Amino acid sequence: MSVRLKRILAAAAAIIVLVLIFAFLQALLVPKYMESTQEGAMIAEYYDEPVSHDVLFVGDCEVYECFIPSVLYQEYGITSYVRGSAQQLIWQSYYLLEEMLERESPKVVIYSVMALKYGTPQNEAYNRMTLDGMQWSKSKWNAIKASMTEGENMLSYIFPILRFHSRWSDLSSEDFTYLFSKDPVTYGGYLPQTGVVPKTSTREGDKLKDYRLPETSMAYLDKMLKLCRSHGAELVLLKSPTNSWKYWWYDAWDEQVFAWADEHQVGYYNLIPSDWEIGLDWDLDTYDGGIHLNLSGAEKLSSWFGKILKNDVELPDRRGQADTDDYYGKMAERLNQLKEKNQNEQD
Amino acid sequence: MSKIKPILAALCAVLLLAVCAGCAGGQENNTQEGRFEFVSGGTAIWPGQNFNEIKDSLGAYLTLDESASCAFPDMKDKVYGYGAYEVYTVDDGKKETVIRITLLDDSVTAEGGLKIGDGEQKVFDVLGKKEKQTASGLEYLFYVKGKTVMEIGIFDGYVVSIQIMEKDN
Repeated sequence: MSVRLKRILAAAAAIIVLVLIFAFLQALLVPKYMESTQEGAMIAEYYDEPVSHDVLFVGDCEVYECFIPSVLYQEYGITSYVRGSAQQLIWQSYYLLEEMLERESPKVVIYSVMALKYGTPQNEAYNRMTLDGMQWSKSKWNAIKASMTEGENMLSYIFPILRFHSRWSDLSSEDFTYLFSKDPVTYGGYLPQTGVVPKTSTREGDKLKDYRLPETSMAYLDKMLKLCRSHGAELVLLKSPTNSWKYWWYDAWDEQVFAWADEHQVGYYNLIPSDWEIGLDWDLDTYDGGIHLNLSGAEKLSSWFGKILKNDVELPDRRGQADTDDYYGKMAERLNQLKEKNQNEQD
Repeated sequence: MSKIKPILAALCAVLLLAVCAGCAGGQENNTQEGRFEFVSGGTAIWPGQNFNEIKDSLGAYLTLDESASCAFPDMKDKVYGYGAYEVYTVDDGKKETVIRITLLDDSVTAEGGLKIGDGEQKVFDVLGKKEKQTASGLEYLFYVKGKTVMEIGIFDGYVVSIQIMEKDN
């Protein structure tokens, strides 16, 4: 072997070693979101779904803490996935949906309208929890571009170690345990909360200077509708039954969404006035004083809304199909185990 | 020439120090611009303040509304109601910071004795004449002092709301 060739091979080996070290350090330093802030692990779980879905939910905590796919399946035969994340902004929902529609053909897409109030990038921490879990694609690239706050840069998303290198002093056993693989934290995208903190506040939302929903948000809503229709999916808008002072759904916003939905012949369900009909008990069905539903509340809502969906939208009953029976059956069993564990801890 | 160089270097150093001192002096001037405060029972409250430092001196609150943030349960927005006014804070689990103070009735006063129910002329007399901005059926006056803003809502020529908050960056 010539000296030159040996040098080339040595250089190549050195580069490979450096790349491997870099990749290892990056995998070590990025947050794992397994034991705390599990919201950060949610987006990536979609890629492990073994079945396709007739219904896709996109949006913020008003979907991922409200709708349980195993309930929708076992009671109505509806296959679904909740691609939600904390403070998921509408352009993020759009690009996530764009990505999902490359992979499957749902009949219905349900979008949680609460995030329409945000017309500009908001918060880097929430961005990372939504965007870092996406596989690289044109959709991810565009989602990042639309989401970056001041001070963020694309390079830190391409190489997350640039953002998280300072975590070296905060590394815990979680970072080593989940270095190469993670456990699922959701149930078909639903993130359960089992705590109970009754809703006691009667405070309403603060008065606003401007009640117009941002033009950017409404433009993305238009795009979302076009995207759904181009893929043969029906878009449905939804406001969850929660309404707390910090996340207040104003009548003016409701009117704007209603008007848009009416103009575009899109279904819109504002579930705030339906809490009694759903059977929600604000002493028992919330884990944070009425901001979000807990598992008990989500079960009631999923059961109630599933009936609405079946009545209003043509959806096949997939019960009896071996793969979906197995998948959602295991999901329901896993959720039951969580409920039992929670019950035992309380006793 | 060899003697001039050290003298020139010394002069440059002095100039540089003078410029830096001037810059530092300028920054000090900015912090001396003051701020809007609300005073209750001798305790001053202002946006950006560490609420833990004054919480006890304000006495028992009448109402407390709390709201956690999505995915960050330790990060809470809180509104303490003291009857005539309320204080909005953000608590990140380590520090609780005042974000906004809202006057709720005419039993308490803000800068220069301004209170809800005063005529807008009194606002101009105390804080200076300004162009009103209209939003959601109300007219607003915004006054800046340091890093704080006093927002005064005007309806039909009278003060209907007074808030003190941090100036947006």
